[in-house]
Amino acid sequence: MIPSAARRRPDSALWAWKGWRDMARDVWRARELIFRLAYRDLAVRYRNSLLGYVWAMLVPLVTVGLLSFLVSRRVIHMDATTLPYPLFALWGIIVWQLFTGILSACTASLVNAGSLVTRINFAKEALLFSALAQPLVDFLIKVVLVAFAFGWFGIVPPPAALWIPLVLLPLVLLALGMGFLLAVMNLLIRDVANAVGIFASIGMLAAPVLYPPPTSFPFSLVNVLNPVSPMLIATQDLLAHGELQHPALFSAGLVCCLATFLLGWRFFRVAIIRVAERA
Amino acid sequence: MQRSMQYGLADVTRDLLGLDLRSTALRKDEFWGLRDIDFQVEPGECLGVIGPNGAGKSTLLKLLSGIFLPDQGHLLVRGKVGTLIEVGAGFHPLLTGRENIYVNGTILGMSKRDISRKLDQIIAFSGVEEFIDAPVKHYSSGMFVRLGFSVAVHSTPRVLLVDEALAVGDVEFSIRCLNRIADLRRNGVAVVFVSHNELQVREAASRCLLLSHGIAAYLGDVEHAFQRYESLRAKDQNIPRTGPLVFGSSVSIPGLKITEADGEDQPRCGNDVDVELTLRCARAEPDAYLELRFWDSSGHMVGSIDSRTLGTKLSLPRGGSRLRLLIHAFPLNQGWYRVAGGIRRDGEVLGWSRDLISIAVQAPTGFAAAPGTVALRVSQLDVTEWEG
Repeated sequence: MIPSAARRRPDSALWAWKGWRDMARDVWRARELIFRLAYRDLAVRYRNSLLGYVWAMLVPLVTVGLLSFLVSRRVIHMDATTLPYPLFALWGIIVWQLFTGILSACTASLVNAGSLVTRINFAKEALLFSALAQPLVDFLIKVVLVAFAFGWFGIVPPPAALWIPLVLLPLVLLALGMGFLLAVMNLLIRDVANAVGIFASIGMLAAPVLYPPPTSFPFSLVNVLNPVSPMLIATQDLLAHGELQHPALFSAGLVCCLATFLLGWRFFRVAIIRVAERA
Repeated sequence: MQRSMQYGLADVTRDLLGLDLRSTALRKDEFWGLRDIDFQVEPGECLGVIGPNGAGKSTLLKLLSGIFLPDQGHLLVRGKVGTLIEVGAGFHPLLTGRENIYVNGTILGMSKRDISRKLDQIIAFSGVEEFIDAPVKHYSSGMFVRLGFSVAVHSTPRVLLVDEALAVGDVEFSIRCLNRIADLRRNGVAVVFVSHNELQVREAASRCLLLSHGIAAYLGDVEHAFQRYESLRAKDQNIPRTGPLVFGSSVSIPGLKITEADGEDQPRCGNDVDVELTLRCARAEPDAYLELRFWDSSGHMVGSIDSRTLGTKLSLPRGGSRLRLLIHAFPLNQGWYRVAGGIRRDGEVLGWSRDLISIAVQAPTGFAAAPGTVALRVSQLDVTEWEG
């Protein structure tokens, strides 16, 4: 039996249950494509480079090295952190880079695919899901770096730190959800990619990445307003204290992450057809 | 923001809120790209789609492939769709040909096992065996397209959509592709073939859809479709013309007429044809010669006239003059041709236009039009026995 497909608009209303089911089905069917595209990106990235994956470690190492020096000489004043400051900052930076890495990879994914998007019919979500690969691999490499750093300071993280991957998952989904929206916008207005780049550098200062979460108003707003903060703080807590110290913040952040992911994905599915029609 | 994008945004919002999904009212500056198109392509059939630029051919293909969705009407596609549109899109320049086969094949919906099984076939068909492990950035554009084409035709579609894909590549490859399409048809694949190349459509298609301004002007027999297309082009004054862009300033060409030798009719293939040229010279030109070039609708120069072949130079007087020449048994087949040309002197252009006139040549009388740009007339045909 040959399957027949009527060409009509997907069930797109937000509350249409069938639409959500179709999304899950489509991404499952595209799994091979996702892995193939991910493999392609990873293979291409360092093909013409000498130092390969060393580049991934360079930025956090140099940033943290300089910053730790400035803090230790009291050029910059920093509240005390439970972990030694270099460890704290290193972890913060690599989590932040995981987030922004996904954000910019997703934003660029559709534009990079070029005429593929408007000429060939395939599950375009695959382009975004596969864009996760490179930032994730980069992150894993940097985790090795962090592990060495912990060893250097002779600190063993508490067993609860093993929960961190579960806390990072919502963060990844948050980035992907925002990425869905940004990728479509970037197709229409190329400035979006630049804006994401600027957010990546300025946003880092507006989240407790290089400094411990502020406790006094209005600075404590960065713990709430920056969408990355709740998950970041949760990982920091798990690393340093072995428990979530702000469960309410974490729960709210979790809901926010999942909602962003689902709504972004849904928006993407509806919008990509309309954009392909008009591109 | 562009109006088109505003509409798009409004549409997305309405989609998400589940408001009326199929509005039929046109908004400002909107138009129907395709209307009242009704056709069916059976397994094993090949439908050729022809029509002038902007008639909606590519839009139709995008609807069939599922990139666009119809705002109105019903469209049903049975089985996997393969496309020969932008072949090689998605090739990564840094990856080798072999790696790109895997990526491209997966995009076209093949499984890894599928690709591995057909890898040798794909490589052999593309004819780039030698370079299959070199990055495709070193490929020539022809090799690039051939590899992309090869992946596409091996992706086991049930419905194959072809859009100008054979425009690139040499004759040998074009024929191989047409054969491959015929193969697929024998295996029950339905093919929709869009091309400006009349010969390829005639080779490939079993039926033809003529689109004009988004409407089906004709659907049926291939031969009739092309005849309708010709008459459509003859009538349609909106064909974009380059205009009489004239090079050289000493001779202008106010008029050129190409007619039947014994009348005012459009020239007919196989008959004697009269060419009449009106010229205006700024000064007397004693050593001039005339050149006319005939271009067919797919942009090939298919014939030319050079007065030097007569062995004499033209001596043109100052002011207006008229040139007449006779072409015996006009060899160009039924179709639409653009005539370029003008007056030259050795090494110098005196007056030249790439777009003097367009002519519609009528089919030869007495026998049915055979495909091809040049009509080859047979005067004798014998049958004798041969012991093989």
